Amino acid sequence: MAKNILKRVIMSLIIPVVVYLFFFILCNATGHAGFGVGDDIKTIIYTSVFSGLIALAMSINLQTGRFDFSVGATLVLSIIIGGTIAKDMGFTAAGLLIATMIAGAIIGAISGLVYILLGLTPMVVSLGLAMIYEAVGFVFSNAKGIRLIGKTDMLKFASFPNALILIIIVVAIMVIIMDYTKLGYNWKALQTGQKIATDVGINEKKNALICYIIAGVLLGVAGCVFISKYGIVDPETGLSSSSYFMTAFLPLFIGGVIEKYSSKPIGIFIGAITQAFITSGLTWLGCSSSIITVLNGVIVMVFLIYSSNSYILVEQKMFKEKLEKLKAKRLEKQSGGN
Amino acid sequence: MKTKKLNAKLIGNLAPYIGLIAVCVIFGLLTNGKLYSVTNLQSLTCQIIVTALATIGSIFVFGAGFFDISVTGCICFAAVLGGMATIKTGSLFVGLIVVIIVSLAFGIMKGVFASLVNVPFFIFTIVLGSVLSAAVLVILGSETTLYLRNAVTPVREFSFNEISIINIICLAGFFVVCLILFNYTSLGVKVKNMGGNIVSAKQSGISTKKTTITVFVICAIGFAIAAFLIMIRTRTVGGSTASGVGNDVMVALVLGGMPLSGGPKSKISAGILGAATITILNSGLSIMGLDTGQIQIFRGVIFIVVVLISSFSYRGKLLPR
Amino acid sequence: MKKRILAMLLCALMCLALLAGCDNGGSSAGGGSSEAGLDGSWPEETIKIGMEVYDTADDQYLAFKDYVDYLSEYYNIELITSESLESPEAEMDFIDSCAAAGCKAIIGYYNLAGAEAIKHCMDQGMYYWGTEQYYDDVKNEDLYIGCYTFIEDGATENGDYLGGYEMGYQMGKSGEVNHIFYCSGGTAFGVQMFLDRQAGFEAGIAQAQAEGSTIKFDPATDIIEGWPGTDDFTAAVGAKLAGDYDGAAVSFNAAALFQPIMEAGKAETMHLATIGEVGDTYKDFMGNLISVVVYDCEEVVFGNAITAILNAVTGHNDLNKNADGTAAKILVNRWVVTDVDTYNTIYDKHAAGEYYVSADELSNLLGEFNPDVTLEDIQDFYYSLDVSAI
Repeated sequence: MAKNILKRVIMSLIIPVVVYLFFFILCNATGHAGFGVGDDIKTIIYTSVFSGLIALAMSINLQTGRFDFSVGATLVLSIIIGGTIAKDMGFTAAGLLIATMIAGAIIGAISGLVYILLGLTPMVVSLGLAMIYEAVGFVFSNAKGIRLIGKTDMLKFASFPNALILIIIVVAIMVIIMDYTKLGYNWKALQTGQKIATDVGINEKKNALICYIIAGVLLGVAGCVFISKYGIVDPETGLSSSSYFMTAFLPLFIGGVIEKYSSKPIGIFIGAITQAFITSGLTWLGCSSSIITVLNGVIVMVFLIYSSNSYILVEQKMFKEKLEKLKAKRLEKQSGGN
Repeated sequence: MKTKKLNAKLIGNLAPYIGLIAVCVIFGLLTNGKLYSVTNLQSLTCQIIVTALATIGSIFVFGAGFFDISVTGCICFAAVLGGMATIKTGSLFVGLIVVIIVSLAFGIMKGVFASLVNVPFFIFTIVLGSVLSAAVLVILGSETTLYLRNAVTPVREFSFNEISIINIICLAGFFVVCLILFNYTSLGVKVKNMGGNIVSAKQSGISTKKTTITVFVICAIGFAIAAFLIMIRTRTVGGSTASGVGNDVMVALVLGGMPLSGGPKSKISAGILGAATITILNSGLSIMGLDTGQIQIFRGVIFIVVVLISSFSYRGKLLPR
Repeated sequence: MKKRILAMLLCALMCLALLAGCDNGGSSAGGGSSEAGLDGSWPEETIKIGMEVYDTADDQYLAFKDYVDYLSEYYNIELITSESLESPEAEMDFIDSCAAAGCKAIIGYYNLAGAEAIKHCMDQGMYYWGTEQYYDDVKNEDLYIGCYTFIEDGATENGDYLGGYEMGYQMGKSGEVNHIFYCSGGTAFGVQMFLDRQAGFEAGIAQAQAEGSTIKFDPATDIIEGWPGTDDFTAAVGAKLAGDYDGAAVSFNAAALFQPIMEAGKAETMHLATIGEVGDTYKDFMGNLISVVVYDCEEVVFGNAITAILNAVTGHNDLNKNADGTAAKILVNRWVVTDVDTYNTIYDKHAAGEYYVSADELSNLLGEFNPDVTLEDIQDFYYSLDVSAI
């Protein structure tokens, strides 16, 4: 049992540790000391918390085949609305967090309701909603977005260790929801067999609605972390908010690989940390932002191909073993026959 | 009861036409007919062309059940390499060849990935799109925007009228070829079958691998023409070329009544209808002189309304995915 | 069916709430009338002006839009703005739409397709104002009515270069900064103005160093590409703030750097230079965190577009032309604001709805109202508006 836990911990952590060591050695060898120590760790934690939250929010719907195009628009709108309310009411950091979470939950609920009631492909519905959310954010803020710069008592969730504590709580809650509640069981059932799950009496619509609300809350938290870092969020137009979910893919796939050794939410956060190591490492090495995008994309593709084809390796190994066994048996027979 | 259902279905199927006519009439009135001045009709052909070509090509890909949103990246990459070749040689013909080769290369690559390598294809194309857009910047280096008039020998300039005629010929030609392929050959049947259910398509003897690569090649030809036409119209190429086409294509597909998940309900007409709707919508909104916020709301609302009407024809107990 | 109607209602409700919000934004127009008798009824036909914009949420653009709104109470003009332009094709499309809408002129506040866009505009019979870098390609065209410039005769650098130069030079000269990093914005994406600003910044630093400044800047390691909000930008800024840097120059809206600087505990020691607006964003930070704002006063730098267009459409296009028939450039000053009092003076004036080029002053530059006005008068007037003169 103890050995088993040890193995699981090692397997979960091996990817980020290897990536960290790789960049640490590379950076130091090329005279870029500073990667992965001191203040850089704080940046890495912020980056991983932000992209981790988006990846967590996306994973809930993506795993059940619902790609939500309005992720970025939800994030931006929840912080514009929640932040404005918090600013006007003179809330502190906790108030800001709660306000953006509630705003996110309401937006998520609207997304979920529209999807359920329309009964159309989520991609289409979320495309239309993304346009509307962007417009709402733009008009609501008079094109100015939200500015909380200098309101230090409001912006506490991007700094160390608050961001880390926040993500640990979020991941813990997500693990509980996904692995230990009826909602999570139903979610998994729906993920693998939609028809069978609904036939045995799972209320898919209720489940989907709750998923959208949870995703909305997570995006609200992500928005809060984002504004705590920069103090400013601009409204997006013309579906440009879709750039927000670009960073969520690598954490999702790494999460998919690690999942079997721990839990999905934990895997995703570890994936986000790994991605933050890569981004930070490449930045220290002096790569331009377009090269980082290219390299990041290539890494995602490699992971994508590996994670969706790894079963072939297992299969081949299995076949090989069977073949060996068979051959051995035949040899035995032959020698026995002689 | 039955007639009611049938009516709903009919309305659903007619939604794209209703949407297009409504947009034409509403914006015709709101702009006091300015939308239909001779020059604007001419420029509408320029505006519609890229979206239309990319959307018609994409119908084959989407119809076969592949969700491809790397449109922007592929067109941009092809246009930039084509532009570089044109500038180096001074020949538009060389540029056209390069555009076609690059575009076909990406088409075949996507086809191979879609058919042979087992990956969640939709996500693969999102990542591919962002990689290509960034790779263009790496290739361009410090040069960043290329102007055809800097070519070694002067590149032929086309007048507004010539470009309009070229556009109409290209669009009509490509549309007719696609229409025939999609509606009157076995390829169309195979595509719809694959999009409907890939396993049953395989079992009924369709070579899914061959079909997959074919649809991506057809789509790539559409992209190549689009990239080339962008090049001769704007006479500039750079990292921002074709930005926004990807989103327009998706919106156009939806407005044209194409189910994004593909299958038997795929319609080639969706390409023209959708592209026309989104182009007239955009043009009308600009002509009215609304500010950005109002334009965004208008567009979102019209999108949702058309989608809502077309949703009448879909029925199912399970939530769609 | 009921559910779908419910979904429709839900969307409709959201949009209604929105439209209700819209109404608050609109100010009550028509209150304008001035000494020169301007009440918004001249010219007789509404002059529609198209404007190419790269970001509709940008401070400078919004400030200019406010200025045109102010002018439209006195003159019969209407501004049609593009959405955030993404690509050369989108730019061409917008120009087409402007032509269809009956626009008389386009303000090239942004330009992606270069001289091709200007030609496209003129092919459709509209005047084009702006984008100095393509001036030589179109200067002889009748419909090209000039642009602003920051460059005195004989100099070769363009305005963005000089903006970057001022940032570098002022930071070097101030003597308060030892080690500076530079955020280059759109350089990696090939946006010309950012390339120019970066080149100017490097030259400005070099000049300050030549004059004895000890400021340190190494282009190989001290440049951050891209925009705030991306992971690599965050990582790069984090890495810089962890280092020994005590200065930063930002070629775009610097607001996104304030919070990270405070977070890093460097609010007291950092000095920022930026190209930006005198507006709400920097108000509380001028003088402590921000040392230099290179400010393009919108009524001065871009406002002369309105003068040129009004002259062109009312039969006084000769006022936009040099003696040799080429389009005239209007030489204007970049306002380099380095102290908080100047900042507040400008801020307060704009906040009160007043401008350095008022509607009455503008009428003096129009052939219709002042038959004696010459191109030199217009150029002298705009050149006289400098930060030292306010």
